[in-house]
Amino acid sequence: MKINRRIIRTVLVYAVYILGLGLLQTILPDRAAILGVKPDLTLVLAILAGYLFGQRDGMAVGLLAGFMRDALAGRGLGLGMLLLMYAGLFAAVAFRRFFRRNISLGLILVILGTAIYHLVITFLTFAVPVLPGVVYTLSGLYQHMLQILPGALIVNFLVGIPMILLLYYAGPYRRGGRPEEDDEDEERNVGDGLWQTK
Amino acid sequence: MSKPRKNRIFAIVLITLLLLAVTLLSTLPGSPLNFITSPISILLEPVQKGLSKTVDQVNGFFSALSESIDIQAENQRLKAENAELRNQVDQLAEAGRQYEELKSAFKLKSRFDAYEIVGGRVMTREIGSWFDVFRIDVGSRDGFRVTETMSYAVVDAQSQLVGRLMATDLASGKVLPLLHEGFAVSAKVNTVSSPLFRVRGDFDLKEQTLCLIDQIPLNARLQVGDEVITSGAGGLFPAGIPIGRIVQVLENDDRNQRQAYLQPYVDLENIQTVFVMKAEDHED
Repeated sequence: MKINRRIIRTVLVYAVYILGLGLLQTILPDRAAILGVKPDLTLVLAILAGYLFGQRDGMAVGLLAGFMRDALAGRGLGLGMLLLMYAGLFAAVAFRRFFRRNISLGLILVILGTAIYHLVITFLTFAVPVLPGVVYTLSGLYQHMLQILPGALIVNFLVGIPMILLLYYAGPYRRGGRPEEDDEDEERNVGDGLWQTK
Repeated sequence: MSKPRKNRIFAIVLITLLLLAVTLLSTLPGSPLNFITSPISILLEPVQKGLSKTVDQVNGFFSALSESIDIQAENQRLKAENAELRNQVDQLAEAGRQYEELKSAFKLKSRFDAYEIVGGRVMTREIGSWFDVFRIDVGSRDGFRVTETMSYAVVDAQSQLVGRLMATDLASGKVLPLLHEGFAVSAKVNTVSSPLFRVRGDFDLKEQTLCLIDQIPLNARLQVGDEVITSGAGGLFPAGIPIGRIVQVLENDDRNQRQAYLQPYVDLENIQTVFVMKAEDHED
């Protein structure tokens, strides 16, 4: 019974985050942009969910947030899901061997994740153009990526600050309410069980 | 390697392959996969409208506050009242603008009388450079069904070209704007018996809000300032929809490779209401 309530709370909180941030992202005014780039809220959410709560959460949040992105503004279905799923997985795996999960490292991971995301999508757009008949040059796409990357890094870092605090303090798990680790194949204790003891 | 880890890697690989297949299939015009988004569109439609309205109001409020920042401290009460009134004025102005747009739509209807014109509101905008189509609240329930051979022209209230419908689900449609590199339309200069050429979006020009003109015939004389309209060739876009003006002509040694830049009339940044055109003899 207790477990069910915990799961329901987790699902509900994630649903609110994914729906709310997904919608907010598509109606943000231009004034929210830095160097012409608006924050990528769902990308930051997937990265932070993976970083703070492990592979399973990162993957699930990435998939669902990616679906929202594809449904609302994607040229097709699937690409956003794929990218954000890997963003969540990457965040869950990166740094884990060497560092404990804390807020400042989470923000560094947001910057790193944003940069890798733009690199990957640049290559994917070149390799698998989503629109038939459209031909891209790799150099053109790369130049474009270089133009938007500084703004994307700054703006995602800035929105990462309130978001990591939100997930940390009002996240899908109560502080201290997730004693066991969901990444059952991991040898080390990670996730809530680790960072809450600090 | 432990069994759970093996299973997880297997699941990730499977999901990746599945998503790649979905990505490729969903790009096909008229793909039934696009209807997967119908439930979410229906569910989110009222939420999105409410949220958009709230954001507009908050935006208006902050605009009003920032504009009145120079007012003296002792005028705080008046400043707040002023901001509130200004907010109300903004909302009334917006309502008036929408009324004007609807009034223009009637003119639109009389101008393209062989077309059914359906008005729609922009629900969501692009998410960055890579997820860059916008959604409107016009979908297959309004009789618009995009297939491999059928799409629909989208114009603004002044009947200026906005783009084309690229996918629909039950409650919403995705619009490919004319600045997008996937967009192309047959066009001509707005003069009698002008040769036809192609206007298309270009990846490098998108940030400058310009379109590229190419496939210009040898006998075509293009000049800066010429107005460009749709030619009607191809049947998707009716003839005579204004697209924009030529701002630069790029001559080339090889006259077959001539190009020009076009500044579209439509203001995609601020557009809120669009109109989708459907030929009246078109089967639903």
